[in-house]
Amino acid sequence: MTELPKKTNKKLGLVIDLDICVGCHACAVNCKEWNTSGHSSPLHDVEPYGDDPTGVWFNRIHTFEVETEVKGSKTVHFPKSCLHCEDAPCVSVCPTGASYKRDEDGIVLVNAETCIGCKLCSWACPYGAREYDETAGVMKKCTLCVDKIYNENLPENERVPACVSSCPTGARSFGDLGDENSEIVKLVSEREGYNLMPEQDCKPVNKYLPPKLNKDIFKNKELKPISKDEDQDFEDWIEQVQGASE
Amino acid sequence: MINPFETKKEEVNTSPIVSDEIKKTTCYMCACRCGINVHLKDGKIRYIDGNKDHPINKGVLCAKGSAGIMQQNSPAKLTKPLLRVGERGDGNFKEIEWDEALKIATTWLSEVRNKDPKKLAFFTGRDQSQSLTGWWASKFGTCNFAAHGGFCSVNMAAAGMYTIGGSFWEFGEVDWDHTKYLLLFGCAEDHDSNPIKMGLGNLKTRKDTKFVSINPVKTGYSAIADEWLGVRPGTDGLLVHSIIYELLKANKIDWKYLERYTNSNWLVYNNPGNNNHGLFVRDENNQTLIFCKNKKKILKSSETNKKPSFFGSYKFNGINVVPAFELIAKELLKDNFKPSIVSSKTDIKENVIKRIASEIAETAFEKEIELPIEWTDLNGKKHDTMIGRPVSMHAMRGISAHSNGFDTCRLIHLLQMLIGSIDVPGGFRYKAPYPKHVVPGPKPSGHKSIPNTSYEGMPLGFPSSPEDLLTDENEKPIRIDKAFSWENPLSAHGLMHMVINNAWKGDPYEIDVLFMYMANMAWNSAMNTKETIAKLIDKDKNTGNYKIPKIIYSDAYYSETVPYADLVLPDSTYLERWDCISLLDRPISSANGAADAIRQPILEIKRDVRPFQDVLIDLGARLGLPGFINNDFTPKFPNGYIDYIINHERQPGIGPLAGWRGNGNSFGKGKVNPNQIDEYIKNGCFHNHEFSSDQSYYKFSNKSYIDLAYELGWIAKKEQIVLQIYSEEMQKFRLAAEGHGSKKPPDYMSTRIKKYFRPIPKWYPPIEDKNFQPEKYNLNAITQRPPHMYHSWGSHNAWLRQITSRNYLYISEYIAEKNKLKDNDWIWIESYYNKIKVQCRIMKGVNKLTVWTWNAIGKRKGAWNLDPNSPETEKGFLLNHIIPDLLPKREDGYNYSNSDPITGQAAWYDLKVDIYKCKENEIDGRVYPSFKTFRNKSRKNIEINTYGKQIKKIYSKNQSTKHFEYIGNKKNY
Amino acid sequence: MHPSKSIIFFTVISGTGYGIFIGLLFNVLFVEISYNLEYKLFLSLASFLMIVTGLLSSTLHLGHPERAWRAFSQWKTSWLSREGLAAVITFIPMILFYYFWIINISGYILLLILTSFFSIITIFCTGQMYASLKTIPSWNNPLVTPIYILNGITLGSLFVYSLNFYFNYNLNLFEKFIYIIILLNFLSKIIYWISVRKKSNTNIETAIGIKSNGITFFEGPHTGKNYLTTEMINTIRIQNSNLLRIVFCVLSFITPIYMINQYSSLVTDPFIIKISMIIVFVLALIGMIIERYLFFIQSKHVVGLYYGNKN
Repeated sequence: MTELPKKTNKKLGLVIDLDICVGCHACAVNCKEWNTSGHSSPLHDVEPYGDDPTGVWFNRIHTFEVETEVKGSKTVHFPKSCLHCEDAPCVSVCPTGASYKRDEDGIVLVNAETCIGCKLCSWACPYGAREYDETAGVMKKCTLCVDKIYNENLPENERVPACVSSCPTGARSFGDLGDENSEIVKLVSEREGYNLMPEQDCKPVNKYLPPKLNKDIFKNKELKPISKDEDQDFEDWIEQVQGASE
Repeated sequence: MINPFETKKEEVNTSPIVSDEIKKTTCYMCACRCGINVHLKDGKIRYIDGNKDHPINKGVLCAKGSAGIMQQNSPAKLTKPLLRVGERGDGNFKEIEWDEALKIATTWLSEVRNKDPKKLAFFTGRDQSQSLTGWWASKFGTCNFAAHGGFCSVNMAAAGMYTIGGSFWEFGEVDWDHTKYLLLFGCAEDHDSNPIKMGLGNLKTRKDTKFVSINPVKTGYSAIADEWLGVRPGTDGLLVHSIIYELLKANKIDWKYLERYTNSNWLVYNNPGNNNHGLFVRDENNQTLIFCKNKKKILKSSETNKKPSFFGSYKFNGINVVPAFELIAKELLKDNFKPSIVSSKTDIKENVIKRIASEIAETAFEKEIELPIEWTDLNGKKHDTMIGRPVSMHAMRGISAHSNGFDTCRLIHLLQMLIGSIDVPGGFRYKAPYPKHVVPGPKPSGHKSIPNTSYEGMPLGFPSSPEDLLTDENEKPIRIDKAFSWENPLSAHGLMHMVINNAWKGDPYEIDVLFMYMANMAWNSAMNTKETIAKLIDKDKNTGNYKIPKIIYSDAYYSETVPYADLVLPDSTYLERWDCISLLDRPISSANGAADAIRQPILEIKRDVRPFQDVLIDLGARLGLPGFINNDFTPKFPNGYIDYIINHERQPGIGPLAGWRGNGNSFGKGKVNPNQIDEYIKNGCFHNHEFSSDQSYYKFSNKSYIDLAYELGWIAKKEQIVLQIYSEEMQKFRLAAEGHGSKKPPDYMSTRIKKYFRPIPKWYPPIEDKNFQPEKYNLNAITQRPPHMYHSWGSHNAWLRQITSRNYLYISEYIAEKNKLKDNDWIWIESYYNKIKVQCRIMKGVNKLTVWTWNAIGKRKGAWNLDPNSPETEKGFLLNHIIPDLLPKREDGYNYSNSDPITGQAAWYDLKVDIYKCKENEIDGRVYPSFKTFRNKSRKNIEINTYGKQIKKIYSKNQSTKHFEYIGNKKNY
Repeated sequence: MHPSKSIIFFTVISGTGYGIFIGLLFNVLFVEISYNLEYKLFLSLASFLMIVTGLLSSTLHLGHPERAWRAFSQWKTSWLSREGLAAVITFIPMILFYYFWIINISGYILLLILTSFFSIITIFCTGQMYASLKTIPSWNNPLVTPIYILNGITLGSLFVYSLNFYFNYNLNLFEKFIYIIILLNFLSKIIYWISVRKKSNTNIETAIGIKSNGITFFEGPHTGKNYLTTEMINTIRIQNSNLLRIVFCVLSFITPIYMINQYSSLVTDPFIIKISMIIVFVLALIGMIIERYLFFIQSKHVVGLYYGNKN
C-alpha cells in the first residue's frame, strides 16, 4: 500500500539505549549476516577486496563527540537502521506501491517484485534507512527481520531481530511500541525515550534512550585525613590508625 | 491482464527454513572464544549466532563473530603447502604435496634435534592450543618456545600471579551482578570482550552504580563511562599511588581483610646489608610469623587466634623485624604521591583524584553488601554471610603494554587488597582454575639442550628466585629470546618480539630453524617492522646463507609473514578443525564455574590444507618424540589432534578436556573416555562445571572451594592462598643484585635489577619517557584494537574491512591548534629513530598530549588477497614502524629490548613522538613507508560478492503472528 | 544530492517541450500569425520529441524500466506517480492538438489550452515531487515548483521565439512576454537563493536527539563510501557554485534578453541572426542544465548530518 495504513495492529520496533552502546558494530554485522541470506537476499558487496569496497548494509553505527555542560565531551555511539515510521515518507512517495507498511505490525517493507528502482524513497527518508541494490535494481531495507521474528522454524527465544539478539551490551530492545502495557513502552517512558528528527514528522516507531549525563550518587567530594595535622608524620599516622581500630 | 492502477500486494512468508542443520562450536574470530551456533543450509553457512547456553557469551555475538562467514569465504585462504623458490620475501613459491612438505620439515627438524635441539625456535602467535604446542616443544627438547603472551599480556599475568595468584585479562572478572563502582584501566575491546560488554550493560542499567574509565582515549567502553579519566599513557600507576595515598591518609582500609587474607602482617627482616634483609621471617619449620598484639609475642602466621600487628618494630633472634605493612605504609605514604603532585604528571586534576578516592571509600565501606551465603574458611570458621566491598577493578592492555606495566598492575592489585575487594561480592573475581598459590609452579625448564632428549617440564613457568632463571654459568641467557634471564627475569610468557632480532644477531647464539604459527611477525606483530623484515632476509656475507637459515610458517591466510617462509604449512580455518580450549592453558571459565570447550569441524576442507595441530602431532610422530609415539614407534595419535584431545593424559586422569571423563560422570579427573567428544558436541561443544554458591567468593580461603581445587589438581596444597601484598620473590632478586646468594646478576645489570625489583610496587616513568630527547618527543602515541577487528585478521574479511579499511592518527584539539593542523592533513609522526607519514584527524575525547590510531589496519601491498592499491595499503598505516624493538645502546654498547625490565613485556605503548605537517611536495596521497608489493600469484579479484543468493528459500507452512518482546537488560528494569 | 545525468536531462528537456505549448499558446491567443505548415510540423515534432526523449531518459535511471508502467498506480499519494499520469494524460490533447492544428481544424485552440494546462500540471507534479521532500531543505521550498514551471516556460518560449524569428513572424508582444517570464524567473531564483540560505530546523541535535553546544562527527559506519554517501552527499565548492550561478544567469537570462533587445542593432547577415537566435535558445538550455545541476549538487539531504555534514 502506498497509502499508509491509518492504524496498524501493532507497532513493532526497536529501542536503542545510547547510554550503553559501545559502538562495537556487532548489530550491524549480524544484521548483514542474517539478511544476506534472508528476505532481501543478497546484501551484496561491490569490489569486496578491491580498492574502494562498498556494500549493502541495513544497520550502521555512527560516532559523535558531544559537548556537554558538565563533563566535557561525551562520545556517543549511534546505531541506526530503519525506524519503521508511522508516517513513513518512503511509503507515500513510492509510485508503484512497492514500498509499503504492513497493517498487522507496521513493519515497512519493499516488494522486490514491483519496485522499479527509482530511488525516490531513499530521498524521502531522512534517516538514510534505504539501500539501493545496483545488481538487482531494487531498493532494499531493514525488514526488522520479518523472516526471523515470526519464524516457526526457530525456537521462540531466537525470534528477535538479529541486531537485538547479537548486541553484547543489551543496548537494543524489541517489542510492540503501540502496546501501552508492554515492558518496552515502560522502558521508553522510564528512560525518556525520544524520536529522531521529530520535525520531519515521520513519527518513527523506533525510540532512542538518551545517554545519562549526570550521575551524582556520592555524598562526599574528598576524604578527611585521619589526622588533622596536614603534614602529619608517619608515626603520628600509625598512632591515629591504631587508635581508630582499637 | 496488466492493470496499471492495481497495487500488487506482497505476500511475505515469515517462516523460511533457516537451516538443514545447526552445528555448535567455538568461535575463533578473536581470543574471546564464544559459543556459536552455525546454521548450515545447502552445505553453506546460512547464519552464525551466539549460543545462549554458553558461559562466555550467553547468546550474544560481536561483529567479528558475526562475520565468520566472510572469514571462511576469504580468498586469502592458503590452499596448498608452499616451498619458496627465489629470494625470501618476494612471494615466489612452488606448490608442493603434503608428503613432500612434511618430509622437508621432518628433515630440517630432525637435523636440529640430532645436533642441538635448542636451535629450533618454535614460537606460536594467536595460538589457542598452547598446552599442546608447549608440550611438543618440551618433548622436542628445545627451551625456545613461547606463544605471543610476551608481547601481549605477560605484565598482567605475571603481576597477578606474583601477587594475588590470579590475574586480570581473561583470567578474572568483575562481579558484574553486584558491583557498584567499577574502575576500568586501559581497557579497549580485547580479550573477554563479550563478557565485559555484557557486564557493562548490566552495570550501567542498574541504579546507583558508577563506571569510571581510566584511559587516554574516550572511545568504545570509555564512551559509556560515567566518568572518564583521560590519563596520560603510562601514568596509571602513579594515579593509583595517589588514590592509595588518599585512602591510607583517611584510614579507609579494610584491616580485617588484610589481616585474614594477605601477608601484610608477616614479619620481615629489617636487616640492611644482610642476605635476609626484606625476606620474611620464618621459624624452624619454615613458617612465616606475625607479632600478636594481645599476647605481645611472635606467633606463626597460620595461628588461628591471633591479633597480628600491622606496625611496629620487633626482634627475632636478635634481628630487627617489622610487619610488612609498616614498610608498605611508609612507602605508600610518601609525599610525592599527593594528588597535588601527581596531578601534573597524570593529567588528572587534584580534586578529581581526591573525589575518586572518596567515592571508592564511600562505596567500599558505606555501601558494603552482604550476600546470604554460608561458607567456611580454611581455618574452619563458619560465616553466615559473604561480605562484599562492591568496588571492582579491571585492567587490560593499556596497563600491560608499558615498561612499567608489571608494577602498575601490582599497584592496582594492592589497591584492591587495601579495600578488601578481591574475590568478594561486588569486587574482582577469579575465574577457574585460579587462584593459585603464589608463586605457582612449575619453574621454566630448559637448562640443557641435549641431542634427541626431551625435557621433563615445560619451557615456560614462574621463577620464584634467581635460582630458577635460565642462565648459564656466566649468567648469560639460555633462551634465544633471553626470557628468564637477568634482562627480564619474570618473563613467564617468553619474548616472541625479540626472537628474530636475536636469531639474526646470533645473540646469544644462532639458530637453525625458526618455526612459527599464526603470528604476523613480518608485519603488525613486530616492533620496528622495517628492520625486522630486513633481518629475515639478511644473508651472511661469507656464506651467502640467510642468517636465519630456515623458516617454517603455518597460517590459514596469506599474511605478510607468508612470503618470508621457506616452507609454508597451510592451516585450516576455525570452522574446519578440531580444537580444544583447555583448563591446561586458557580455559573459558567464569567465576561461577570451570569450563572448557572444543571446536568441531563444521565444514569439510575443500583445499589441500591441514589443521596445524594435526600437522604438529604428525611431525611429533615422524620425529619420534616421546609422547607422540608408541613403544613400537607407531604414531600415538594416528587420528591427529582429536585423537590427542581424547586420549592424551598430562598427569594420570588429567587430560586436555575436563568434562565427561571416566565413564562419563567424572569432572576434572578420570580415565580417558572415548565418548567424551560426543558428550561435548551434544552439550554445544563446551563443558561447564558450576560451583556451588558457597564456593563462589573468597576462593583463596574458602574451604569448600580449596578442597575442590585441590581435588582437581588446580592447586598443589590444601592451604590458604595468601595474597602477597608484599612480594618476597621480588626482594630475592633485589638481594641477588645487591650481591647476596649464589646466583647473582652480571655487574652491569645489578643497577637495573635493584632499580626495578621491589617487594612493594612503585611506579616509575615508562623507560622511553626520559631516555631520548623528551622535549622533542613529548607526545604519547598508542593504538587501540577496533572492536570489529582482531589484529590483522579483519582486513581480508569482506564485511569487516568495509567498516575500517584505513586509519587516521587521532590528535587532540590542543595538539591540532599547536601544530596548526586540520582534519585530513598529511603529517609526519616521528619517534627518536624513525618516522611515518599519515593523515590526521582531530578529536575531543583524548588526553591532550596523546595521539592514537586503530591497530593493525595498515596492510602491505600484495598480502591478504587485497588489491595492491587498497586503502589499507595506501592510507592505512602501522605505528609499528616507529616503535623500537631495542632501546638505544647503553654506555657499554648493549641494547636492551624495549620491554618491561621485569617481565619482558613488549612496551608498545611507551612510544613517544613528535608530529608535524608534511611539506607540500611530500604529499602524494600515500602513507610512508610503503614496501615492495608481494608477488602473490594466488590473488583473485572478486567484483561482486552476493553471498546468500545461492541459498534457496524454502518455507514451512506454519506461520506465526506472535512476536516476542526482548528487553536488553531485562533484569535491571 | 547526486546530479544524475538522466534526471537532469529529463527535467530540462521535457520541461522545454511542455513550455513550448505555453509560448505557442501566447502567440495563438494574442498575436495574429498565420503559421505555415513547415512551422507547424517542426514545432510539433520538436515538442513531441523533447517530451518523449525526456520521459524515456527519465526511465533510464530506473533499476527496472520494464516495470515503469506500475508507476501510475499510486497517484493518490505519490507525486512521481501523478507526474507519470499527468504526462500520459497530456499526450491526449497534445496529439489531438497536433492533428487539429496541422490540418487546420477549428477547435485546436481549445486543445492547445488543454495541452498547456496539462503541461503545466505535469511540470507542477515534477516540481512537487522535489518540493515535497522535507529531507532536502533546499528543495522543500515554495519556490521550487514555480521555478520548475517558469524554467519550462522560459525555455519553451525561447524555442518558440527562435522559431518565430526564423520564420519572420511578428515578435513584438511575445518579446514582452519573454521579458516578463525571464524577469519573473530571475526574481524567483534570486529570492530562492536567498531563502535557501536559511538554516533548516533539522540539524545534528535533532538528528541524534541530543542537545549540545557542539556536536562533532568522529567516525562513520565505513571509512569508505556507501550508497547513501554517493547518492545523497555531494559537495561543490562554494566558489564553483557561485561561478556556475553566474554562468547560468548569463546564459539563460541575460543573453536572451540582450539578443532580443539588441539584435536589430547588430549589423550582420539576417541569416546569421536567425541562427544566432537558435544558438541563444541552445545556450539558455545549457544554462538551465547548469541550473538543474546546481539544484542537485547544492542540495543537502539531512542524512548528511549523520555523516558529518554541517547543517
